[in-house]
Amino acid sequence: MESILEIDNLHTGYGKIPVLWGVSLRVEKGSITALIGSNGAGKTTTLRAIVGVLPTWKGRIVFMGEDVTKTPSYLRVEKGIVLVPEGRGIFPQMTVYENLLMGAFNRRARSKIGDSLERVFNIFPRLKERLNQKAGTLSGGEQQMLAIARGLMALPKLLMVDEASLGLAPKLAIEIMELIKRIREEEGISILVVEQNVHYALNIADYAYVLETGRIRMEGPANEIAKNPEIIRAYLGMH
Amino acid sequence: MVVSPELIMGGLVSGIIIGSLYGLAALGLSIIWGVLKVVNLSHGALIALSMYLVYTLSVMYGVPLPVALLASILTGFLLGIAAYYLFVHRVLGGPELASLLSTFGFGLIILGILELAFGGIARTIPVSQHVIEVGHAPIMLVQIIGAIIAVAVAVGAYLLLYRTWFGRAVRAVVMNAEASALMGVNVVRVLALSFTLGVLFAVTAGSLLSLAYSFTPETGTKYELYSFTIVVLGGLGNPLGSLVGGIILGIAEQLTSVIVSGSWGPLVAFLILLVMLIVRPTGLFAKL
Repeated sequence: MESILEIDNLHTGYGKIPVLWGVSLRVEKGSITALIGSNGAGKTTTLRAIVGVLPTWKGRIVFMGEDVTKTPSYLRVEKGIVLVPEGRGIFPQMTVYENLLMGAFNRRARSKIGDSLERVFNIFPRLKERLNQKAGTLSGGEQQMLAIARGLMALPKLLMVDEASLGLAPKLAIEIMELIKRIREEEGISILVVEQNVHYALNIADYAYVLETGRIRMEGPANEIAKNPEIIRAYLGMH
Repeated sequence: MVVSPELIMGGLVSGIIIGSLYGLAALGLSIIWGVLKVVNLSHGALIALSMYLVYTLSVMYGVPLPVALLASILTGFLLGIAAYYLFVHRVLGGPELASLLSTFGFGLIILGILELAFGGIARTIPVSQHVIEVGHAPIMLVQIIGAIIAVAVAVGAYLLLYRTWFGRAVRAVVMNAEASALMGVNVVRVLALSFTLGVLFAVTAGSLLSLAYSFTPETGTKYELYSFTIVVLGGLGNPLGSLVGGIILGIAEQLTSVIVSGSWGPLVAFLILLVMLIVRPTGLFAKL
């Protein structure tokens, strides 16, 4: 199948300290791909390098057949690489509506705001009721929904969601994961999820990569990874 | 000296008029502080520079006053862009002392040039002495026009920040710079433009203030102190807060000068700053 994103031998880090030691992965068009691994493995770092807020030291990032390794992040967003960051990164003193408008900041998305709002309210009806509320006053689950909705406003071709379940009650976390699945099914957007909660991630993903101390340790179809004894011992033991 | 109601009234009116200019100057400091987290210590020097630009053009070269004002403001705008890349961009994200030293140094360069070129003698720009009665207080027409411009610019800044894509991006960068980058905002461009806007507001205020009072290269220092006080009064990055804070300080200064003496102005500013920092350090109004 055709891939929307291909990373080849990606090296990066913070300051002079390397975090990724040659990560290679691909996301197939229309798939949900999961990047799993323990705390500090380099999952968030990988996503930040893909969207370009962290420079690539070595290696190549190819998006829809185009090398974007040196493209500034605001142009990558315009091309359709969109990251919903860990900790949500909503703008607390702005209203829900203004947050959604910020999502559509890139030039390609700006002209389609009306359509995008309608689609987003279809998936997240609760946000419509909270439109004029300051985003900082939303509950944790609602803030996560806003963060994903804001990501959709950018008209992503690849939506990357970092730790969407973090800090949410299990029931709410599962609801968010189901919504991510719905986004792929209804919108046809390719999705890359990063999760510490391996159980949630493997549940919705088609394919998975296991990241360990900055290197890809294992990869395969999500249902096979979920059955792997090593994975069960290391990550799924609690569930 | 008897303090008549007319004098008080006059103090109030001229306080509002001159205070709106103080507010505009403070807005320049406030935007840069709020968006870039940089305390621009060249603020006062830039204000002084704009005064001498108006002086040079209108008094020394006989350029018509409105043209001189526009030229001074435009020069300040261009200087703002240059100053961002020369003195600010490279120290962003570094230790706070770096940006303080860098902007302070830039200010010293400006002051040095002004001292060298003009010396320390006080200069005045002769303007039309046409006076209008506002509530029994005689106010110079030039100052009224200046105040109208200042209020218009502050309201314009408010609309820019709250009603436009660029303004929303500026506010987003203030709240969370990385998340803004993830929305496709070119953060460096927002920072450069915000700095330039801040300088633009400072030099606009300076150019207009040059018509109201005499000045020396050191005059900028006084307006820098006023700006700090107003930013503390009005809250960071809030244009209407700056305007109201400026008017409060202007009234306090003008009333002091009719009741006690004109030279007490900076003391009043210091006292307001001190009291605000103790009583309500977050300012009178919500921040950006």
